Amino acid sequence: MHQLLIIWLLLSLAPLAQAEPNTPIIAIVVSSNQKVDELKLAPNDLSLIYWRKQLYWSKGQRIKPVNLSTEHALRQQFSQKILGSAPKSQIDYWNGQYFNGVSPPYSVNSEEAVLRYVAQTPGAIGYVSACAVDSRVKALFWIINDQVTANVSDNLDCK
Amino acid sequence: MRKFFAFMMSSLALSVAVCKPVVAEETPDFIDGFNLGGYASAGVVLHRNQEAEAAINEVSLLLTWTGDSRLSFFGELELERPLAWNDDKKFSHKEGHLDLERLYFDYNLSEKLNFRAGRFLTPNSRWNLLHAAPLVWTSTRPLATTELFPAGTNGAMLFGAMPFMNGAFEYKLFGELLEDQEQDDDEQKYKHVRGARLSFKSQSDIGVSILSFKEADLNSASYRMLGLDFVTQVKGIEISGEAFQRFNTNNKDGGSGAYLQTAVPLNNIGLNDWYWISRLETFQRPDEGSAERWLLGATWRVKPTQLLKMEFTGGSGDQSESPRGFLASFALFF
Repeated sequence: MHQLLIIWLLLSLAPLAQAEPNTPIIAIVVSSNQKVDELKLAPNDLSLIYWRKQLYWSKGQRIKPVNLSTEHALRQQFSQKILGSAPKSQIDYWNGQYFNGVSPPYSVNSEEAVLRYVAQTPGAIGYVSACAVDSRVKALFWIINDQVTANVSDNLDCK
Repeated sequence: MRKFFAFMMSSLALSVAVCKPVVAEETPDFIDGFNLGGYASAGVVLHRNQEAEAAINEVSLLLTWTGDSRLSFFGELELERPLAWNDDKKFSHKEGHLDLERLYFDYNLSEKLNFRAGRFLTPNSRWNLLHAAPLVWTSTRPLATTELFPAGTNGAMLFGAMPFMNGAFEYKLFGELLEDQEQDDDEQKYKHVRGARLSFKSQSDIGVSILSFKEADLNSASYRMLGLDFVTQVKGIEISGEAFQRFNTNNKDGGSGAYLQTAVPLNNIGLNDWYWISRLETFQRPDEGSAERWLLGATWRVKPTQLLKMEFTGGSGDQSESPRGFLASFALFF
């Protein structure tokens, strides 16, 4: 009877454990040629960079953030986590920045385009799903379950 | 004006002297660093006690330059009221004039510290910093944001941003270095402008500013001013407001003003991208008495960069900067 009760409890609670949909791990990437120790980037700086309030790396190189297109699922996830709002609700902000001579981050349509832009543009920073990271870039941080961390398990499930 | 350009050229020379290219491997074309844009607005005013008028209110050009160095440039040249019409004069371009709204150079000293030199908008009011017609919900501007402090400053500023909690903390410290500002004859002139602004951007934006200045008229009175401003969203409704209090040298009331504004989306009644706008204002200066204003209107966001505005305004006291009656205007970025 006790075993049946335990099985029933486990079956009942199982859906709760899976209530949070699996969101892809996001990697914040710079060019593999970039000297990371010169960047002095903290996770909290990401929002300043993507709001274009921090425009330069510590050595004076201009930061060139790149975004995925507004409708891209990864952009939605990144924007909610790092900027605290959906891309479409940021129109007023970017209009205000335009008035003050600041353009929004460059936008591309695919993760492959992000990788190429970051790899080939000095000072660039971008984000892709963790499994898309290849030798052209290196990851500075990871966004895992809405937490920004400097560490990630080596055992990424990239099947 | 000659002094102003000398000041600008000195700023540029200083900036270039201290600036050195950082990215040796890339030397982008100088011309590629330029970006040109702008905004414009046109509207009609049906005054309560005067004849109707219509005008192209302004055409502004925004020019930016950014390269791969620590230096950048920004300028705004505005053609004000290039064409106007009223019942008597019919069409006229005599009111039109050019105004150099902003012209400054920014130099990045470190990630959190930047230096600005030139003519910039006095950063002590949210509305003053974002006053372009396509950025604001109404055709009229709250009196408190035009009549109590200088809109622009010729000088220098230190500014930057740093992460704080889940948002960004920003600071600005500024002072006037050149006092012969180019202003319209009917505008109040100011000198000895110094101030600071601290703001926090998160789900809501809040700012506090302090300012000291002298009004360059016969009385030459000196003032200190405290300003507070905020904008937030509550269930999709944008609520914003600002309040200013001036003190004279005897710490007595030197004028004050405030406004509270809401923008309610009308999606629920099938009017997508329409907003119901309401605003209450108060304003007083010891030498000019007081004025109150109310505003009710509707604004259609035609596109993200285009606004069509219609509003009724009323209240007490005649103020040329804030007409009472019906106003409609169209504004766009280009």
